[in-house]
Amino acid sequence: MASGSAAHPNGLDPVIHPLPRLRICALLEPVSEEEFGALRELLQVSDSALSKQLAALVEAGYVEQRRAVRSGRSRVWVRLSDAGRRAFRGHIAALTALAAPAD
Amino acid sequence: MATLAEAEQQNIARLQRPARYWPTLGLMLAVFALLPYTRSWPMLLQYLIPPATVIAIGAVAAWKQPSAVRKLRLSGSMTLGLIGFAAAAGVLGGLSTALYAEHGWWWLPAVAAAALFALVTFGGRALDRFWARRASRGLR
Repeated sequence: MASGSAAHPNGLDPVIHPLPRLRICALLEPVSEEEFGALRELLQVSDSALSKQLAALVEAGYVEQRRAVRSGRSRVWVRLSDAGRRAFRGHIAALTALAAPAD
Repeated sequence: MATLAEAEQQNIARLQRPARYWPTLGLMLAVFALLPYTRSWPMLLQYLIPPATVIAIGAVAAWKQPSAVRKLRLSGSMTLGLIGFAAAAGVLGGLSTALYAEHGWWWLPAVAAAALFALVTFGGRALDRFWARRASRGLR
């Protein structure tokens, strides 16, 4: 698994920058973990589309997944790793700086 | 930034617990505020009836309902809110029990139970809103 990715000179993280991944990180940021199905409902995407985006985040070491059985059903839980949380916050800071009017 | 603002609104909405959650918790705690009334009961009933009532309330409220668990990450000031809330409930319950034992005011546990229910129902909702907003605001 790769750990993180090279940031752009402007501080934007190329792994997080695509909108679907930015939304995934934004939804995972305030929680300790979220269930795959709940995330899919929130994003209103298909299983395969979400899996594809998550795979990119997992590959960068930003997201971790675990499988757990609840109510007799196997479910996948997704969480932002510490590196992912740092990268996301850095990306938001860079976005905010870019969006701010220049003095 | 629009995507983030949208996600923030989504987080605020989804991280708040369902409407049934706080009244249910309020009812459960109110049962404990009524414990002084059980002092004259046989020992076995004193130990069995209150937990059974709490379990029954929880089971009825959760029947065929989606999970009310929110895996919210609590930061420093958010934890303080929870501690203050728990302390207020503990002081209210403890004071009521002590005063009832000392003065035998029959109405006190009932008043404490009603106050505890109101505190948890309304205070809990406010705390939940505060938590959801606070956690979601981390995006900006």
